[in-house]
Amino acid sequence: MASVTADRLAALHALDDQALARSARTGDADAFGILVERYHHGLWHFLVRRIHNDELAEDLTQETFTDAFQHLGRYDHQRSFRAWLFGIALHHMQMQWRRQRARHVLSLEWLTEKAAPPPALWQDDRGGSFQVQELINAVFAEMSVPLREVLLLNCEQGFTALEIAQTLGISQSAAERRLSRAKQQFREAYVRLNGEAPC
Amino acid sequence: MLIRRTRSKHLTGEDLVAIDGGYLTGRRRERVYGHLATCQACQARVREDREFTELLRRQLRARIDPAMEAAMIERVLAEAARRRQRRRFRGPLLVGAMTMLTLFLMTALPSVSEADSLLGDFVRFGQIEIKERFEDPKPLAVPAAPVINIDLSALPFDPVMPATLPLGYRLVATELASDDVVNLYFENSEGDSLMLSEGPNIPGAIVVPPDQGDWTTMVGDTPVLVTADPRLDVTGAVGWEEYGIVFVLMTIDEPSGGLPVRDARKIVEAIIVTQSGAVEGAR
Repeated sequence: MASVTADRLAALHALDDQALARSARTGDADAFGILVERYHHGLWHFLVRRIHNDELAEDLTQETFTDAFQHLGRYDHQRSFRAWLFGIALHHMQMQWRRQRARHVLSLEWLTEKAAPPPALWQDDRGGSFQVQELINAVFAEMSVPLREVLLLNCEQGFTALEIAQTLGISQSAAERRLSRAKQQFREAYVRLNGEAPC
Repeated sequence: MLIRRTRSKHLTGEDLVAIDGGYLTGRRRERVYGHLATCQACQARVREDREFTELLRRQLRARIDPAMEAAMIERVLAEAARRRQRRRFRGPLLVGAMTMLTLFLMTALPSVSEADSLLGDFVRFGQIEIKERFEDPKPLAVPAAPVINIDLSALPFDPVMPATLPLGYRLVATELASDDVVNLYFENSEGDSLMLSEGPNIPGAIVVPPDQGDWTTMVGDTPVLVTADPRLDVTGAVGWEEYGIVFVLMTIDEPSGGLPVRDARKIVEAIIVTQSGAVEGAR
């Protein structure tokens, strides 16, 4: 029995996202579990970088996956699954921002809010690259949110311009332009802060 | 002729993105690689872009404690399963709830005009019980003396510190929310809590997004902003900017319902009077 389950899981692991999503849509929790395993790490990390709050990022990650599971019927199988998933996450994040922004306004906290420090997760065991990491954090802090977002989707998550376009609901050429601007802006800020080019 | 044209047209930033993505096809691919074959400047740009992108990818590579991630995944799957289970029961529950609601509407609900007169100008959040509080006020319990454990002299403004507010609210606690924001907590005998947040005025500090159902009302000659957003943790808030201080009054807990607009006005008026008196006295 155990080997049947193991065989089945191995077979599921071999499936692509679209096939897993189709299977999960019919109620296959194992298929959904594999999708969660595939994207949990990246999604959570993406959210942590965007909102600088580990716990909130976990909540939003959970919301995103449970929403995705409930609404798999709306997923267009012609499109990238992870782009759809990250699109849900961005929607949740925007809703959270609205709530938080209103709450900050009401409680006046935002008047004195300082830029959030980078989360502890960033400062991990990269040894010699620690300074570069700090520099990157500083550059990110200077960038506008939309540009930072596309750069993270591309360089951290490995999204293509088409997937970025699907995630953000913009055209592919707009995604390419935005990503190009993001790289340009990052590079300029990096050189200004570092005194020399990154490579 | 064709060669000269492609030579003169250097690659755009979008072209570099497409090269990195590896999805160039058709005429665009021909144009880009045709140009690259002969332009050393663009070759250098592609190299530079590749190295730069690689550096970023290396640095941004996510790392997380595997045990922590396993626990998070477990929570995600458990929540998804729980919601799925709940959905299975939603249909029968909805039918039951609709039946109960219909019966209730047929027998227990007052007429529309009766309900309107009971509610008056309350801030409504679908909580019909809020009317009860003001029709049968209970005597106030005397709270413990507030603990003012903050150094008021360190603030860049003189905060207003009323010990009581209208409608039986008494100051029960204070806190320094940051270097220049002080929060005062008031409570009445019903357990309703208000927070009065005070900070140095920054013009336009009180900004409420347009989709949140806010409006202004006049208290004397002072415009007061009233907000009401059921999505927030608060059920009502009032704020204004005067005398170099920004105030925000918000309900943080309201077991008896919510903060009616007319009561919010009374409280606001009292604080404005206190503040005006303090400022004019200082002059």
